[in-house]
Amino acid sequence: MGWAIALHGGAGDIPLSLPAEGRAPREAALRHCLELGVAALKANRPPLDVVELVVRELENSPCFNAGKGSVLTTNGTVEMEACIMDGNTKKCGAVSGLSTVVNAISLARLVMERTPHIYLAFDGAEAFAREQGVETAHSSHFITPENVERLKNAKEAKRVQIDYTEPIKGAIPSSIGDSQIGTVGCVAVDGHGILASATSTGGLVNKMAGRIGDTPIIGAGTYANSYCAVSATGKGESIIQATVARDVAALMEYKGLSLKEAAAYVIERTPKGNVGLVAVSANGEVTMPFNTTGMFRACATEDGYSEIGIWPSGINGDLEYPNK
Amino acid sequence: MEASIMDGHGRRCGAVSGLTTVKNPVSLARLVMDRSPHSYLAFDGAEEFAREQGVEVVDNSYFITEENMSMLKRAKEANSIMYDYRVPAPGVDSASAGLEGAKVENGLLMNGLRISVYAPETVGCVVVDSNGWCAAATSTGGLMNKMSGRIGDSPLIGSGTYACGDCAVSCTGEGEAIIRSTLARDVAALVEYKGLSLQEAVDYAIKERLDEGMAGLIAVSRNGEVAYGFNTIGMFRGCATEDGFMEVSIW
Repeated sequence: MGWAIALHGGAGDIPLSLPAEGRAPREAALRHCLELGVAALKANRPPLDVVELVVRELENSPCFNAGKGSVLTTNGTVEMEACIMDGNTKKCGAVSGLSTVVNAISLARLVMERTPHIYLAFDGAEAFAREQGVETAHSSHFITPENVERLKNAKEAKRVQIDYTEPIKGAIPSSIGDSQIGTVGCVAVDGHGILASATSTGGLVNKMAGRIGDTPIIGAGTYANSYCAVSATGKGESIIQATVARDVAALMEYKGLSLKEAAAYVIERTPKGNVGLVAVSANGEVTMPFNTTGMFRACATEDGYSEIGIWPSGINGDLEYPNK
Repeated sequence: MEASIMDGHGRRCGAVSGLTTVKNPVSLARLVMDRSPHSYLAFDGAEEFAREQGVEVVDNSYFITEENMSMLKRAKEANSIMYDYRVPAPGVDSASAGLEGAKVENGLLMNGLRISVYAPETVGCVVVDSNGWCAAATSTGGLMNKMSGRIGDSPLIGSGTYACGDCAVSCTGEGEAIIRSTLARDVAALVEYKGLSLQEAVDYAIKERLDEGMAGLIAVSRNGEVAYGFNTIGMFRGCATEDGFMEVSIW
């Protein structure tokens, strides 16, 4: 027992050759967010508050595909979505199709707490945002040059890219060589076993306007109940059909698997290269499995364990770190 | 309007939300599944896709009925949201959750009973063929007097709709309760992970997973079984199996 927290900045085909300019800021952001989350848990903030504040911080970082730094739709616009769930009450909130709200995760929380609904989207969600007086910004706040470039590459390649993208194979990496990692999320549990989960994203590069991914779908990208809290990342369409987040909890409850076993089971049964997740259990356990090349992640538990990583443990990316 | 469809064979799925002119949302959901790289399209993007695909579209007024307009007016007056599950109990003149003291009118007749304050239901269908392949689909206009942009359970895979190798499920009722309990996936998970029979899974989900929520669901299994459950007064439904069983009922 004890508190635990895990967070991610997206799973995908993160090359071991990721240059320093791509790696360092993301690791620093993960470390910073982990510290914030740990401090909040130590200060006895409710897990729901903790996951929201960590995800807000990740949204505000331009390094990740959420909030500022969101990838672009085929129209060159930003359509952000987010979801938050309180494992204690199973209350939840979700938003999609946001284009001006600085922190989608906080709007999702307001939907949960201040409306009779769970999920608001597009114009209706934006109208609600204005009613609630949340911070909004012009789309230029969210759009980064890297993402403009990424959209251009995707259109040229005429393919829809998973939210972490590699430059076209064989091509010389562009000067904006780092590729943004997609979706951010955080799960936390306090010493009483109260769980919460939050996820936020800009979605898929070059997605169709109006495309909704797994992030705001309860049971797909986000879930929390009395057993565990889960936040998933990867190819949204795969996560939806596999109801990834719900299945981890269901395996624990209905099949008696441990958190690690349940999470591994779900990851193994989702097509390779498609999914990663972070999860914590009511007992303070943590797991962060993925079947992609890598997943930006960090976790810490009350007994002093902490980890920040990109690739599977044991793979030392430093060996291929070109500028070291 | 919103809808979703799922093919248990391969667990492919498609969903749409926020449609205003598409005559058959469930067919657009299927096109999302079959002809787009995505699983879920909504609002303007979904309407645009509808036009690209050339599906039948009509003026928004096609969908609006007088009954719904008057019901919206009364809901606003009572400042309530009307759940689409309300069906009056046999012998009772009206069931009007949230409209205490509302005037009873001589409205529609259903099975010989007066239904005064009846709101149209979410619709859904689940099917299994003789190979054991299951599929599910759900479609709705959502809640009367809902906030603009509100998405309910019907287009959410795992909540209002689900199908896998074991079974197919479609839910109706209080959307928020169905989402919170991921009702459709839970029925299937109880079969898949806990080894319950279809009816046991349905009963368990309705009894244990809804808390204060009101909902119902229909389900079929790979073995050709049919099951349904609801904790509301009634649920409009029909079912049939190859061996000749057939039932249409409300309560």
